[in-house]
Amino acid sequence: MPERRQNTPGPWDPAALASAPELKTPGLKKPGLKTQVRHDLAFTGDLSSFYRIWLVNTALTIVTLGLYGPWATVRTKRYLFGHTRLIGTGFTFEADPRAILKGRLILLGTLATGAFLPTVVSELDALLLFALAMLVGIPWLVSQSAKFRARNTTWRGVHFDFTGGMLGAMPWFVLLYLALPFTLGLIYPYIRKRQHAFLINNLKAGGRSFETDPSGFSYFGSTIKALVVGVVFVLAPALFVGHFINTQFGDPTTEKSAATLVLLGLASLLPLFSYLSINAVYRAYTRNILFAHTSFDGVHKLHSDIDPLKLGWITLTNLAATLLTLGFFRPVALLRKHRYLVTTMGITLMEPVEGLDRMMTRDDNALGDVGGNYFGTGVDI
Amino acid sequence: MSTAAPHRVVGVLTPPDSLDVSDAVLETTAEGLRATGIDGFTIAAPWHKLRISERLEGVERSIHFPDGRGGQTTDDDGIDLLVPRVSQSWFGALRQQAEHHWRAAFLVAGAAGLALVLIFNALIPVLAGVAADWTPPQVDSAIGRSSIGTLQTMTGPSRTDPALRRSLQSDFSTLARTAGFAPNAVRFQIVDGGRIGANALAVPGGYVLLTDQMIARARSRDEIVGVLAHELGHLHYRHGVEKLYRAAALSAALYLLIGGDGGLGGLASLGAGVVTSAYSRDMEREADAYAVRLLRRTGYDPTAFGRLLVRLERETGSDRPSLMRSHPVSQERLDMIQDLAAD
Repeated sequence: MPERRQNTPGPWDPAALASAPELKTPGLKKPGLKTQVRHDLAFTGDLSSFYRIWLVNTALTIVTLGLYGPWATVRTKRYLFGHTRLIGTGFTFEADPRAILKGRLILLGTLATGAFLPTVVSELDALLLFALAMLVGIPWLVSQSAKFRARNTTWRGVHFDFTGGMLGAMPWFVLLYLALPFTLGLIYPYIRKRQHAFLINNLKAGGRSFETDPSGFSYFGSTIKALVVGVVFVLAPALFVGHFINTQFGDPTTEKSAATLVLLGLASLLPLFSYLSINAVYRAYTRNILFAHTSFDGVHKLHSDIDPLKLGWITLTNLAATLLTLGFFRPVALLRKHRYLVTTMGITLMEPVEGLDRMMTRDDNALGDVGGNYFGTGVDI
Repeated sequence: MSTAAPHRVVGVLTPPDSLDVSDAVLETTAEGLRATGIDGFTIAAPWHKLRISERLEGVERSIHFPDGRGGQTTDDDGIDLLVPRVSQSWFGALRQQAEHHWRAAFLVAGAAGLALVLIFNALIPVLAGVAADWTPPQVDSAIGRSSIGTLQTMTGPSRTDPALRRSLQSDFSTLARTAGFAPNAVRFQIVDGGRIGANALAVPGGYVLLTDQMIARARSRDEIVGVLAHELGHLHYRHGVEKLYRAAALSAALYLLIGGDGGLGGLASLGAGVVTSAYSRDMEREADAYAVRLLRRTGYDPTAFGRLLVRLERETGSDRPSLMRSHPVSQERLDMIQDLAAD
């Protein structure tokens, strides 16, 4: 079957209709033989408008003592989704911020109760309650967040949905972690694989399923590669810098200038930076594998071509710049990372796409209680 | 930007049997809105069943019809003129202005910066104080018991001369009695500081802890008694619970501000640590003033402990920027203590 790339058109311009009444937005239907057409995601957001939105979001969140936070979250997501375009059309994300606010308040109340619990009940009881809360709470949060995100997302009227539940998530998000010490951590890639499979295999769009089955072995390979990258590019330089700082400024009796103190403060953050960067590299490797094994409705294939080193570099520099600018780099960091993650993604559609009539039918039961709650604890793939 | 007349807006619509988008025209009818695609298909709905997404820089507005389908348009001005009552609230309009102009955005951000200063310096301390007043004293004791447990693992039995310890105990009793504490409401213990070094602590519920190392640094009994009076000040004002409330309010505020932003959580908690330690300096000043008053009434030298603080700071060679320090710079404190004592 022939494979070709199709240029994705930009956002639709209303002025064009006036000048060319016969214009029809480029579409998917091709007559004759079935053809594979690869469509890459495009990102059309720009930094200056996103930065202003972030400023206003942050300001309103502060002034309302955090209550505006969910509205800020929804607007940020809507901007990022809306400018993420497949075949010229953006994704819509239209969650009800009140649902998020409710979720956050419940979570906050639970955490506060948990913090005061040890003063009321015995230590053993508190520990048992904590274990129980983790056992049920984490998988519940994971599945609810995935549901909320999916059910509030549409593309050209195609609604996403997530059908996984708390019990389905429990083995991969809690129980298997208990096996980590007994397997010397070797089971971790397998856990990660099953988590990704849970999130993809329960995802639907227009009632059609996404399916994936990457091999555990390839995830193991990703782990090794990420660790090697971590040692070569992050750990070794970090140790070197740490040693240098220690020999130069480590003596507690000498006077230190403010600049030295900032330097020492940054150096103490190196472990956190290293961890987050290596994690990004790992995420890139596994995401590439995962998407290479993922199909939609059996015939349409997904792609991801992230350069792991580049994603690691973006993560590292984003963190450092955000910290050094006391947070004012944050919108730049968000946009930069989102742009890179989505523009390395695509889907190869088998055209003409079949079963559209059913795909467009809205499942009212699924949408009746849009998402329930949202705690902002979604697991990113 | 709009080329369409106010009663017609152009956009796109997804036809019923396709994943394509077709150019379409959106227009008002007697009771609602109708979208007509270029291929001739239409959707119509009355006002109350329509939902139109809010305005957001460069993102298409979605027009949701009740059957789950929807149209989209990039003509922001056009749709706002066409359906003003559905699409835009007064708040949305103001926000849109701020999001569209750099100057307005920075103005809003500056105002929020001022609000942040007020929240940290006025709102949270006041609320924490009110909350502490409402908290039953049993809560102090419960918190104190768990802190004492932790402290016991870090400290050891005192090695200070028993005679000196007895005499300090009687000084402490004098202070507590004069301050108006009920008998046995406050207790005082001397321990080997171990990891916490030269230190004095007021633990909620009425415990004052003093370390051997602190005693060794003092040059007179009045210096030590001054420190004890300062700690009694913390107990008198119930600063322990108040601090807990402040920390809780601070982390709640940070959580709501950054909410769910995974990667930033770690950085936020680091920031919270820096702010929290700077956050109790007003309590230290309050306890200092309390100590000066109490010491004068009991006849001890009210400025002695200020000198001990300055010496301690000089010996530990601490020159951390004052933002990171939980106690105000000692020289400043000594000056203030001397001023208060001179009144």
